[in-house]
Parts: sequence; structure tokens; C-alpha cells
Amino acid sequence: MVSNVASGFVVGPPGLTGIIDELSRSGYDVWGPAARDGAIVSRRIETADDLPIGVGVEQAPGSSRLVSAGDRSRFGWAVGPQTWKPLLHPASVVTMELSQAGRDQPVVVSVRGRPPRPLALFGLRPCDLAAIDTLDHALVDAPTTPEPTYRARRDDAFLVVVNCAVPAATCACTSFGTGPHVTDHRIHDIEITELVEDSSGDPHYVIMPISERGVELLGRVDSRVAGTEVSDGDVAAVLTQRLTAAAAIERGLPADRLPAALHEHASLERWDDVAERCVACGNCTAVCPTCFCTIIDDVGDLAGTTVERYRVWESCFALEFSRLGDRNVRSSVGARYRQWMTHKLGTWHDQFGESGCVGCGRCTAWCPVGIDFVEVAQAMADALEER
Amino acid sequence: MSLATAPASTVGGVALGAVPDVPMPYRVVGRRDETVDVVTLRVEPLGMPLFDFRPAQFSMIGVVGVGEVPISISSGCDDHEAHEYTLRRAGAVTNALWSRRIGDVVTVRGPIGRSWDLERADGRHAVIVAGGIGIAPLRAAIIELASGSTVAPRRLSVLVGATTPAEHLYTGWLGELADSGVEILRAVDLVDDGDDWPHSVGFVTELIAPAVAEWTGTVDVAAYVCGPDPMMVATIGALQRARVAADDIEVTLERNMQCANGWCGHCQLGPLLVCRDGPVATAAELGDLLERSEL
Repeated sequence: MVSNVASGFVVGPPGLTGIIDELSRSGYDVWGPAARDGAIVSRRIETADDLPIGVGVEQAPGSSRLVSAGDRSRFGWAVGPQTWKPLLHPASVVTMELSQAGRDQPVVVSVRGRPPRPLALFGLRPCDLAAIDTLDHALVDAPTTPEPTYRARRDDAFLVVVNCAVPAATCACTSFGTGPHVTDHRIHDIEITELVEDSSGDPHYVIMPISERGVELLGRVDSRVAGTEVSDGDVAAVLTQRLTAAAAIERGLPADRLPAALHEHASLERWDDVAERCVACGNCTAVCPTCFCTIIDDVGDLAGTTVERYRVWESCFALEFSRLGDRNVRSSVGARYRQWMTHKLGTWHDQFGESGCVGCGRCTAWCPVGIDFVEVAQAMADALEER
Repeated sequence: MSLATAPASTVGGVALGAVPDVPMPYRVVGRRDETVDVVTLRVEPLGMPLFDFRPAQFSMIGVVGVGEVPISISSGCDDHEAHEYTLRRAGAVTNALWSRRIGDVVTVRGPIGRSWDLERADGRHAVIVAGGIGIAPLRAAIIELASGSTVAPRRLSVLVGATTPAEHLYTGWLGELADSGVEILRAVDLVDDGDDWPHSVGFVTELIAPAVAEWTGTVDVAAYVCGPDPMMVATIGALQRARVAADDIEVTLERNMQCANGWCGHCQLGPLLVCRDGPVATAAELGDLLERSEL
């Protein structure tokens, strides 16, 4: 489903600042993309000038470099390494405190509360939006009860998506139906398309309210930023960008055939080749926007009477991830790579009824030895075809 | 309302014990050494009622400051005074639990997971196959099947294997069951010259064909299996060779478990999240998952 462009309005960069400002006035803790330390990362933002102006990203297996976009765009880059995951699903968080004055004394548990202010995520890419939808299905629609840490951050989070105009060479969203413009993961509040008409001037932005909350917020902001109506030319430019960006994505995966292919490739020898290259560092799982695995870590004071219970990200590439009694089930690197890829592209369908991969390409760009996730998956699918 | 300042009887507005994420205090009211490294702890909740459970369900049981582990409830479902957990000391948490004394307070969150489908055994030959400490998740099922209180199997056979005679658990209780007419067959992999072992020597799987053949003209078996992964694979094979259908064989699975709420991803076995989809699965559902190396 494509958003109704004509329902929106058009602003320049001050209009973006107006939206950021209104989010802040409405009590949101506003985060957006910024160019720092040679990468696009998420930071607290206050104005449209905090966004990465004129910055592009060139990505390849094992490589991600900031380059000049050659214009005044603020969203002329594809995904950065950080994802929005740490904001909604923190890498390390105290979930509760347990105290016990002595071994025969009662245990008192205090559950830690929600963060003080709701989050506004400004500048999500469509694949990031799809990833949040995927995490919602895994963590909010969980079998017993929603995962409390994620839910406390996710429930009130305000999501502003900016459609992608300039995909990276590692992007594969079209195979998964997650981009480059917003597809059917319509859980956002506002959708923005950046239109660059000439490289020396500021772009303009087509602003589309999506949710009721989005309509209300924009209703409070548009009188201040003097938006103009969406012209026929703007509508055409948005549609053209959507087609051009999709056409620029050269990588593809047979996403529908992968679950069966990976199920067939269960024997460990199939994974020997990739296991020889993989260093099991876990970078791919850290930058993956849908990897949600965690470990529970109890950290006590010196007296041992008060314990903080942490929920901490853990990678399936860690040896002890599969610890069972006195052995590790997945002791070989091949078994761990198989778990990562098979879960993402295969068994996620069994567990949650959809793909665990949104095609963002981060795992490939941020792999220190340049393992190309799409290439490995394609080889698995091809090998099945040949038999 | 701030969750941290919620009254002690509720957490975030939810009654204590109803939040599967929040550990609850339980007092150790009994401990029984089963073998040199296996103990059964009997625990009672502090200030709240004992929860109901079904056989093969487990709890995350822990010691403050050390951590939690998944342990199945090994007492009977008709025991409304306390729950029992049988565990072997292996890692830090099970060692801490092993060293608890009567009066100590541990934490419990449960019951978790899918139970045995004991209804399948009604009017049929129920065959229990246990390897080592795998008898623990089967104990509540054996109690229920032997009592005939909810389902009445035509025949009940309990086949128990262990590495050595000294590693057989619950020997007193199994002896009483045998005296009451339940067929109990025991095997060990190894015996020493000095061992007094009047039972079989060999793998527990070798007891299956004779047991099934002896008591059934036609094969009408509901089987319940728990033990180490290779033992369960061998047992499923032996049962299927004895013409027991894969739908009529249930096993209980064990994987690393952190949250037990489907949030942490640790207990995956291929398509299964063991805490959500298991621990019980039929051999038909399991397919070759346990045979796949390092899955």
C-alpha cells in the first residue's frame, strides 16, 4: 500500500525543525540521524540542521564510508550501523532489583519502571520501520506477556519515517517488501519524502500524516511552518523517486524459497566454507535491526543482599549462548552461522509467520571479514536448485 | 503508578505470581539427596497460594545473586502443600541450589510450558521411558497415570535407565510402585563386580521391544520419553521399530533458557522455541531436529 501523497503538505528545512520542535514540546525525547565518527548514528536532535546535511554513504561487504552527497539533502544516505534498536530494546537495562537480607530471609522484588519521556524516532528508513514491526511481533505479541522493557519504550514511541531515495549497494529491501519507500508496515505516525530539485539549494519535504496521532501533531505545527499544498509535480516526483530508488537496488534474494532451502541445508558441512571465514564476532547480530536475543545477568552488591537483574543483548555467535549443563550445543562456528542465517531467513517464519530479515544490508557492511549475507543465502538457494 | 513503589502484593498492578517474568520467594521445607550429586528440594511459596501445574511443566528456580535455571516440577499435581524440584549440581546455579538448607528462601517463577498429553494414554498401554535425571519430568505423569485419577491406562510400563546403579533416582518410590503392580523395568549401562544389581544391564532402549511386545497383542501405545538427546533419539527409533506411531511418542526437550517467556531466543531448536512450543513435543513434530548435529 502506498501512502496518499496528496493528503500531505510541503515544507522546507524550517518545516522539519517545526516538526522536531513540536515533538519536543509535546514531551517527546526526539532522536534522529547525525553524521558522527565517520558513520550515520542516532543522536538527540533539536533542529533540521542537526541532520546529516549533504552526506552520503557508500557501502560494500566489510565497508561503509561517508561521502559527499553532492547536494543539500539530509537523507541522501542509506542505513547507518546503529539502527534504532538500542533505543527501543536497550543493549543493557536493569529490569528489576532483588533483595534478600540473608539466605533464609524473604526475597523482595522491585520492578524498574518505564523511561521518563516517550521517544520520538525521527528519520527512520522504511526497512527500519519494517524491523520495528517485526520486533513488535516477536516481543509484544509474545506467548505469555509482552516483553516489558521493549513495550514500555515502544507503546508511546512516535515514528517519523523518511523514504529512501539513494539506496546503498548492500540494500536488498525490495526482496522483502520493506522498501525503499514505506510498504505495508504502516505502524508509523508521519511519513516524509525528501525531494532534491537542484544540488545547490535546500530540498523540500512532502509531509504525510499517517496515524491519528500524526494528524494531531501536524495540526499543531503546520500553521507555524507555512506549508504549501502538494502540487501535481510533487506527487509525480514522489512516485518517480519510489520507482527510481527501487530500480537502483541491484541485489535480490529468493526470499520465498529460502525457508525450504535452509531447512534442506541443515547438515553442518554445507556451512564449512562460510565458517572458515567467519570470526564469530557477533557484529552482524549487533547491527541487525531485528536481532532481539538477550541474556539475564544478575549483578550483586558486595554483601550479596541486593541484586540488579540486567537484560543484556547476547549474540548467537557467542559460544556460551547455547550452554546446556556442561556443554555448548553449537560449539562450531559453522553451527552458529547456520543458526544466525537459518533463523533470520527460515525458522523465523515458523516462529513468527514472517521473515526475520528486512534486507537492510547492515550485517554485510559491518562484517569485519566482508561476508556477504545475500551471497551466502543465494548460494544455499542455488545449491538446492541444482540437486 | 511507579512500578518500583508498587505495594508488595502487586507488581505493576498485576497480582504476584501472575507475572512470569518476576521471581517469587519460596521457602525450602524439605531436601532429599537422591544420588551423590542429585538433590530434590521441596519448596513452599511465601505469602501466596501454591500454583497448579500439569506434568512436564517447569519453573525457573534460582538463588538471589547467582541466577536461575529451568527445572521441571517432579512432585505430583495432587500435592497441594508444596512443589518438588529434582536437580543435578552442574553449573553455578545448580550448585547454589544443591547447597540450600531447609529454611532457606529461593526464587521460583512458573509454571511454564506445554505438558504431557496424558489423555492419549486413556485405555491404552502407557510406556514411560526415562534416562538418568530424565525421570524427574516424568514423575508427576507416572503418579497421575498410576493413580488412575484422571486417565486410566490399560497398562503402565515404566522403563528407567541410568549409567550405573548408583545413578538411579527415586528407587524407594519406584520400588513401592512395583509392589503396587506397576511394571517397572530398570537397566544400567555398566555394573561393577561389587554392585548388587538384579535388573538388566544394557541401554534402556533394549527394554522397549520386550515391554511393548509382552503386554500388547496389537501395538496401542502412548509413550512419554525424557533423557539426554542421544537417548531420546535412540528411544524414538526403538519405539518406532516396535510400530509405535510418531504421533503417539512424546519427548520433553531441554535447551539453554534465560527468560522462559519467548523473549530471549536462547531455547531455539530449529523452528521451536522450547519455552513457548515445548518442552513437550511429539516425535512427529520433532522430525529429525535432535539428530541434526549442533542444532
